[in-house]
Amino acid sequence: MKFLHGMLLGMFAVSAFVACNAAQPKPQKQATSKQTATEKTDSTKAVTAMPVAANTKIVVYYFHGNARCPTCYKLENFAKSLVETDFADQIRNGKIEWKTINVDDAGNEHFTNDYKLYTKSVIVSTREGDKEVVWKNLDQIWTLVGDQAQYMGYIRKEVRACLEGKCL
Amino acid sequence: MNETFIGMSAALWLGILTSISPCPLATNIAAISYVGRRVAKTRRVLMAGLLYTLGRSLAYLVVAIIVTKGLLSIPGVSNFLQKYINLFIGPIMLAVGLLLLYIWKFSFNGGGMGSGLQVRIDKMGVWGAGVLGMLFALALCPVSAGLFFGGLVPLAIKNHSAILFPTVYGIGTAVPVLGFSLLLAFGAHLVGTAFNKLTVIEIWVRRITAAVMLLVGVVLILKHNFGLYFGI
Repeated sequence: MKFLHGMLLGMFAVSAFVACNAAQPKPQKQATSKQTATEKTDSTKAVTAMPVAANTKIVVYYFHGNARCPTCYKLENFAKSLVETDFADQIRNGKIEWKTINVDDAGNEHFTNDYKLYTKSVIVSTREGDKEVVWKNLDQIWTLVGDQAQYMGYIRKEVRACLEGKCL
Repeated sequence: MNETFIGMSAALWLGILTSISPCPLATNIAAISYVGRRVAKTRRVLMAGLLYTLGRSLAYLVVAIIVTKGLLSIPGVSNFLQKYINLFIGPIMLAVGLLLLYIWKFSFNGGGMGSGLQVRIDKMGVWGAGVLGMLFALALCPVSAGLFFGGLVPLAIKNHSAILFPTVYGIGTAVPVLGFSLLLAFGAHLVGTAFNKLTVIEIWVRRITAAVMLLVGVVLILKHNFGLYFGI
């Protein structure tokens, strides 16, 4: 019993130490985006109806961090399988690309600011050559993920709209 | 009026959706056992449940006000809460578990701690439910961050309701804990009274609570502080 108490106390001490160390604010992390709630609503709208250029390409991103969760895996797997099956032709001819990005990996931190990420997210980015022209955060994924068909329908509709130059 | 009612129902549903997802499962179990641990005193369970709910609502209300007033950015607040508050949840659970274990041990052995002190700690325990509610609400997991910042906040902005909707959302997130604690309390009360074993049941429930808090603390430490994934 004493050994167990000792173990638990030791674990408490080590974890508290780890937490305190990790919670020290790091200078570069303070440079977070100044996006407010109102701006967020605007950015998700990012409405454009643009002519589809020959070099237009859609990149569908799934962003996650080191901490994973069952629902997060569902978000990723459902969206990935939908894109890979429904848009197989476009993937083959280079019109669509799927990318899974861990924002906690070195070099990926900028995505958090670029797309104003506040949790695991699916972002549809429209690019012309090397230039990104519009992007959209599919922020309904969390309310729809409980129903796989509805969730996939939502991803399909949004990707198709961007592919047709109507990222609504 | 109708629009407000529809919005409130949506806020409540978003809260319930948050609470029934797998990722806050560990903290929900800890909260149920903590809130319902005084099974012999149904009023205490009710009080603890109410305070736990208020604690959650208050936490969401404060966060909603901060982001809707534009005091801090949504990504900044969300990523900070997800990254840092979770680091402290496990150690706190472990500490609460150890404290409950010691209280139980001392009260069981009848020595080491005065009854006055025990009563005071017990009273603090009821208020502790409120603190626990706040803490658990702030320890955002990806699902709660997605539904709160991606669903609730835009809904509150659209309906010009930065106070009512986050409060209702908080109530929604506490529904399973409240429901299970009440079931536990009333169930134990009925069984205990029928068999005249209420005190025995409460002793066991308090022991189990301490064990659950310790276990959840260890799981959360391994998950958040050491990065292990357990499927929750």
